[in-house]
Amino acid sequence: MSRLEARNLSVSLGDREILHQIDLTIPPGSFVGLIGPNGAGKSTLMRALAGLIAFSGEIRVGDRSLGSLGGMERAREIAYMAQSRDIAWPISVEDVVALGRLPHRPPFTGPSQRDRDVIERVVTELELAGLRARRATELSGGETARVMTARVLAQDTDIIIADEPTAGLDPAHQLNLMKIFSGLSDRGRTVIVSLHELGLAARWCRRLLLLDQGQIRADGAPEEVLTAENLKSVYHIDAFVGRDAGGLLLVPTGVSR
Amino acid sequence: MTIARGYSALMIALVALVLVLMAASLVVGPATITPFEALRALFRSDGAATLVMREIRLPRTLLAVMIGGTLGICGAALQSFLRNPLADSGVLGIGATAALGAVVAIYTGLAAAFPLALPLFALVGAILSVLVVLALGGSAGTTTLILAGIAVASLASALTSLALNLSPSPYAALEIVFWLLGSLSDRSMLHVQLAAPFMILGWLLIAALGRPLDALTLGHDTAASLGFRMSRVRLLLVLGTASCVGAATAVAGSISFVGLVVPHMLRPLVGGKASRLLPASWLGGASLLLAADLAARLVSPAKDLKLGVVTALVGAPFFLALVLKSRGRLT
Repeated sequence: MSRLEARNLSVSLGDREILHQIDLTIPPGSFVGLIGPNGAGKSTLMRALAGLIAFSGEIRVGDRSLGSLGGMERAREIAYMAQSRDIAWPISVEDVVALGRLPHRPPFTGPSQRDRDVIERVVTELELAGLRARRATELSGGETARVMTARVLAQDTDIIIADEPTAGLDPAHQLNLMKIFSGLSDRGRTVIVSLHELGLAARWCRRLLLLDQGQIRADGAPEEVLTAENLKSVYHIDAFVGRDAGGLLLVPTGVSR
Repeated sequence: MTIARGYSALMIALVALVLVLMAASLVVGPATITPFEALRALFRSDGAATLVMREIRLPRTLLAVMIGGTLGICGAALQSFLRNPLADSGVLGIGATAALGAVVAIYTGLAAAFPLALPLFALVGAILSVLVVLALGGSAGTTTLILAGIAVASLASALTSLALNLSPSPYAALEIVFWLLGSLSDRSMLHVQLAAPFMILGWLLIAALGRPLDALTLGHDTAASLGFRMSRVRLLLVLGTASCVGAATAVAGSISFVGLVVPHMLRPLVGGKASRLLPASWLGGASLLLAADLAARLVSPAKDLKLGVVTALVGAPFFLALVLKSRGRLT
């Protein structure tokens, strides 16, 4: 199990600096929620951590630098779930899930027994058995999200980075997805998700990173991060923050300019 | 696995189709040789018949297979890479610049003085277009690549029109127009030998991209996160396409619609996966071009109907029908 570390991480797109000197350590088994208003740099931070864009500073995976990992090596350490769930061609659900095994397959070989076992396990875990032969382009939003999650799980990595996985899903599907991610972190995987639904972040994540204008404004347990003051200064909202037996409750109540 | 079994059956059927059409292509021609004699003369020295078979019909058949395969596999690869069902090798401007190179060879009279000048100039045209397209759109996203390709194609066709406009005699203009229409008649084994190395290189480069193209089904970021270096994929794809489409245009002129239609027809049959679509489209393209060339020869043997005209005539309505059928499914 590898820990993920960023030191002095900055990212610029063109001449605009999107992330400014981020320092961050994420130990194995974390379930981190990345929150912040639109344009705060959440997606950019995730893409940098996943090794998809150029950055300055350093990112370390375990004891190795992210830049020193080859593409396939990196893909066996870090899985990335893109915000877009667009599937270009009508391939079967099982074929989509199997794409997650590509980094594990040596060139010019078919899927190994282990590949098949992992796909089988993931398909069962996400209750996709009934859908496996269906065209992935003809599924509902909730089903597509499940298939994409299965694809990420099939990659079988220690670190999972998911960009707004709950966007556009109904509450039941959102809760289901958070439960799956939470279960993964219980088993020692590192899960980092960006979220706009502060209620979900408050209740499910064990640690929140509040990002604003390319910098980390707060980092800690949900109750430490989601303070009235932080919500006001970063999100410009007032919110009711309470607690019940299941954890933190957060309901935005108004805009405070 | 039903899809895997269906795929093997499809590949066997396509190979059989290519072989049958090759045999048909070899036995059809103006020389009065019976089909049996024709095929025997191909393998055993038999005077005039062997000469006809080996020097005239065999190169035509081989070129139809090679060029059809090239257009099919390149169309499939570009559609998969750009995630756009309307792409074919035309979007990179390679055909247009190869044609421009050939037109320059005809226009300057070099083609008349030295027979291989035409295909060689066309290849140079293809290479130049790749350098320009990669320089313009090399490091940026796919949209820039398409824009660079369209810009290069427009410039090349403008220059081709200029050559037509300024052509010294009506005969030269006619020669250019006929060459642009695309044809496989009067090609020799020399053309096969010239095109083969470039085409084989192109096919190999593209065939190596099956996995990254599969991964691209889920988008650029996901493919990159699965460990594929997209800049390298794009470079290999552009070089591979230029190499084989450049060689195809160099020996046969512009042949449209094969690269667009064939992947469309086969995609549902292979279950949508790019790595399966590539070899299937090679075989499908070869079949389609063999059939089109046969049709051109059978329908009007005397008129020398141009191959590019036939593929466009058959391809366009067929493509329209496909669009109508899949309206609603495409978004």
